[in-house]
This record gives sequence, C-alpha cells and structure tokens, in this order.
Amino acid sequence: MSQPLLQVEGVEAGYGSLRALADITLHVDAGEIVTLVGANGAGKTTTLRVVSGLVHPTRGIVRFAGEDISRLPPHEIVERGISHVPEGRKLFPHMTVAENLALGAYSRHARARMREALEEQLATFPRVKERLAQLAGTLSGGEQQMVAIARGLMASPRLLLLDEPSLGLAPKIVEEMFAKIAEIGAKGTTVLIVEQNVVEGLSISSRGYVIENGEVDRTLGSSAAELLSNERLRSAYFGL
Amino acid sequence: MTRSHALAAAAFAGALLVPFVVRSDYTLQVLFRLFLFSALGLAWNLVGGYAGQLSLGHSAYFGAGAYGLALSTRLGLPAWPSVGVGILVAMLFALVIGGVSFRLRGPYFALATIACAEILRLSAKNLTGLTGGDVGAAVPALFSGQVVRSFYWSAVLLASLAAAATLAVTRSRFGYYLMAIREDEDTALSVGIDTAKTKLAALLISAALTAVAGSLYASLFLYIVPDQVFGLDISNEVAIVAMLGGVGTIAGPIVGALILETASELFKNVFLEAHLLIYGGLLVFVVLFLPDGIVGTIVRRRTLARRRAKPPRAPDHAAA
Ligand SMILES: Nc1ncnc2c1ncn2[C@@H]1O[C@H](COP(=O)(O)OP(=O)(O)O)[C@@H](O)[C@H]1O
Ligand SMILES: [Mg+2]
Repeated sequence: MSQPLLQVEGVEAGYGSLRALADITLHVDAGEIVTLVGANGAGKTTTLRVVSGLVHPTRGIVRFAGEDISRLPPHEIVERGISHVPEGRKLFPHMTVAENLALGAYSRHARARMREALEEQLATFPRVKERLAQLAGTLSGGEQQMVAIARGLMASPRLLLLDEPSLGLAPKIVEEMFAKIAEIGAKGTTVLIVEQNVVEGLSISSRGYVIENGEVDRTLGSSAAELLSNERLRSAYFGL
Repeated sequence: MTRSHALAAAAFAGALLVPFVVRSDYTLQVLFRLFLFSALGLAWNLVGGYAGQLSLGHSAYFGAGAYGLALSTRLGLPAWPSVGVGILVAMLFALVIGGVSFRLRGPYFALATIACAEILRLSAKNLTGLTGGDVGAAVPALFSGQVVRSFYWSAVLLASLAAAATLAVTRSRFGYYLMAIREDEDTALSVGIDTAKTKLAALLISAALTAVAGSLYASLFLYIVPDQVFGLDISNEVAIVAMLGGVGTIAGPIVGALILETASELFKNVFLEAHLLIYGGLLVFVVLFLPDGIVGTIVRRRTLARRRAKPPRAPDHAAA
C-alpha cells in the first residue's frame, strides 16, 4: 500500500485552556470518501480545523501526501490542495455568488485554472449557475450549501473537507446533496465529511470514524458497512 | 468613460480652480482641512471600511508624518525628502502596530490600536531630547509664496490620490480579499486568503497616505506638539469622517469630511472645546441610526430598489 493522502496521528488540540481533541488518529486514502461521526461537541469540527490549519495541534502530527503540515498557516495548506467548507455554509453574504466562487480560487495554482474550474462547478451545480449574479446571503439554505461546496472546489483541491453539509436542510435537499458529494468523489476528489446524518454519510463512504470526547473510538473498525451494521452505533447515533 | 468618471474628472478640475475664485486665505484654509480630512477618511477606509478593521489609532501614522518631517529637517534633510522619511516611519509603525493588533479581533483590535497610538503620544511627550516634548517642535515650510493656495492644492491632490488608490483597490483581487475579511475572517482563512498579509498590506497603504496628510498639516502650522498630532482627537476624527459618510464606499469619506468640517466651522465659536462631545454624539448617532453611513445608506436603498423586481428569498442561516 502506498501512503495515505491524509494521515492524522495522535493529535491533541484545543482552544486556550480547553482541550477539544485528546487523541485523534485517522487516515484518508486518495480517492476515498470518509465520514466522521460523533455527538455534538465530540470534536469533529475541531478535527477538520486542525487538518486545514485553522487550529494548530498541541501534540501529534498531520501529514498530507507525506508532508508534515501541522504547523502551516491555512493559506499554505489550501495551496497544497486541501479545501475546507466550514460548518454553517459560511458564505460571504454581501457578495454575489460569482464573487464567492472567485474567492474560492485564491491559491496560485487555482487561479491559473479558474475558468476551467468554474465551468466544472457550474456543470456539477446547474442551480448555482442561475444564481451567479445574486447576493449569496439571499439564497435558500440548500443553494447556499451548494455554493459553499462549489467555492471549496474552485481551489481544485485534492482533499475536500465538508463540515455538516446537510445541516438544517430539508430531507429532499439532503438526498440531493449526498448524491452531489458522491458524484464529486466519483470524479476523483478525495472527501472527508463530518455528518450528523450518519446513515446517509456512511452510505456514500468507504470508511468512517466515530469520535467521542476528542478521541477516535478504536474499538470499532473503520469500514462503512461494518459501522452501519454495528448494533451499539445503531442505537447511539442512528436512532434505529 | 462612464458618467461617474466624467463627474469625478469635473469635480477634480473644479477643485483645482477654486483658488482662482476664492481669494480669502481663511476660506482656503477651511477647504484645505476639508480635503485633508477627505484624504484621511479615504485612507482610513481601506483598513476600517473595506477590511472592516476598526482602527482608532490612526494618529500614530499622522503623527509619524508630522514628526518625520519636523525631525528629519533638523538633521539637515531638505523639506520634501523629509516627508518621505515621515512616510517610511509611518509604514514602520504600521508593520509593528499591525503585527501586534491584527492578531486581535473586534473591540480588542480597536483597543489595541488606541493603546499603540497612546504609547507613541506619551513617548513623544517624554522623549524631550528627540521631540522637544510638550514644548513642541518647529516644522519646516513646504511651500513659499502663495502658501495657503499651495497647501490647498496639495490636499486636493492627496485626496484624489487616496480616491484613485481606493478605486484601484476595490477593482482588484486585493480589494475582494479585504472585503472577504470584513465579511467573515474565519471563512476568508478557510478559502486560503493570507489574511495577516492582506490586512497588513492595506494598513501600509493607509499609513503612507495618512503620513503625508500629517506632514501637510504640520507644515501649515509650522509648529507641532505631541497632543495635537498623536492625540485621540485625530484618530477619532478620521474614523468618524469615514463612518459618517459610509465605510467601504469612495464617496463616503468625502461626504463625511464635508459635513464634519462644515459643522466644526459653524459651531467652533459656539462650543469651543466641546468638539469631543460633538464627535461622541455623532459617532453614537451614526452607529445607532446609520450603520452604513450616509452614502452607504443611499447605495443600499438603491440596490434594494433595483432588486425588488426579483424579491430575495429569506436567508435561512443555520446555527454555526
Ligand atoms: N472556537 C471555540 N472556542 C472555544 N471552544 C470551542 C470552540 N469551538 C469548539 N469548542 C469546544 O471544543 C469542543 C469540540 O467542539 P467541536 O469540534 O465543534 O465539536 P463537534 O463539531 O463535534 O460538535 C466542544 O467542547 C466545544 O465547546
Ligand atoms: Mg461541528
């Protein structure tokens, strides 16, 4: 086996004196979709923030394509090919959809192929195309999430981090959203998702991790099928 | 050339012709202040408006321009190159102040900028060997002959330069990065914008323009003391000019300067030292009733009216 695209090893991190992550170890292979599940406050968002450099680990290491990126600032991590779509579809609300997308192509390598990337995104998200001239803050929730993902993809990332893409969306839109994410994965982008919709998340994933109190539950295997059929998880998280 | 270009060109030409019509030195001095504070408001706006970083310590750069001019000529440098020294010192201050305060956000950032400017003011008061302290420092004349006219023209040029710089910034990628930081700094970080570098670049441009204004102001008075050029008054007035007119717009600071300078001319004999009260009152009024400022409010109304044909959907922000 070649090395994983993303490797997080024994990461501890927090906010000031609060320790949000105690010991996170996980990996994502190139071409995979992997889902992180866990209760509110377990540390899923913080894990993604560590990967994208918004929070620096106090212990442990994050490797991307073999390189230690744990001390790099966010813009250098984006430059290396990791794109983070934050929780709560944080768009720039007073800018148009087109401006939001353009801002996704900040990194040097992304700027070079901006036009191409925009065409790809508009093909994947036809609804976004109709809204290009509209202020991002005036879109519906589902549309905003599509724009947020499209903006993340404008950087032409090798790894896309999605934090709760289905949060607050109507069930029908959620279904559409996961179909899009599966499509993005099938086109070759590696995806790491944090999801409350555990069943939908794991269904499009090859593997998953359960995070509890800032630690990856090592008693569980990481295959998505295994996690989906695990009795304890079914009652704890899936509400089944 | 669009209509607004033509309008701007006409306004610029008209402003340059004013001294041929207006003969009173007093009126020209009032107009000098008007353009000087337009320039200052525009310079502040790059940081406080477009990037959304509420600096309340711009007197640091104003004072750097004023003392840069005063002290370099004392070392034997001619007057205009000394203005250049003032610019460099202001940019150096900006590097240090930005490096310290841009780590902080919101009100903490604003407080840090006040603190930095206050440190400079107190240093200028106490380093009597260098600055002359409260006794003050003589400032060389930048012009001879028809002095007030020349100051007026310099202020018009500086304001135009600041407006042109603002226009260039708003049309560039850099301008979008600044606005992205204002909208949401965390998101700006996560799309990969080097927010620290971007904010610092805006502050450097802003500080350089502010320093030139400080030099002009100092040279008009020929004499400066620390409280006058490093004081909170200057910092506040600069911020209020931009906020009153409308942050993040080009016309805003000019409108703000027009209102503030007119008001302070009209009321200066009535209130004397009560200007701080007026500034405070204005600031509260703007923050409460005109958060977008005068120009900002007009622009927003017009945009809304244009969009009314296609009603926006209710934004449903999910809890972050
Ligand atoms: N910006 C922050 N400042 C301080 N504490 C935070 C911040 N963000 C998250 N936390 C805390 O860190 C822990 C993990 O949060 P988070 O990673 O957001 O969990 P999850 O995404 O799994 O719900 C929680 O206890 C949360 O309260
Ligand atoms: Mg979260």
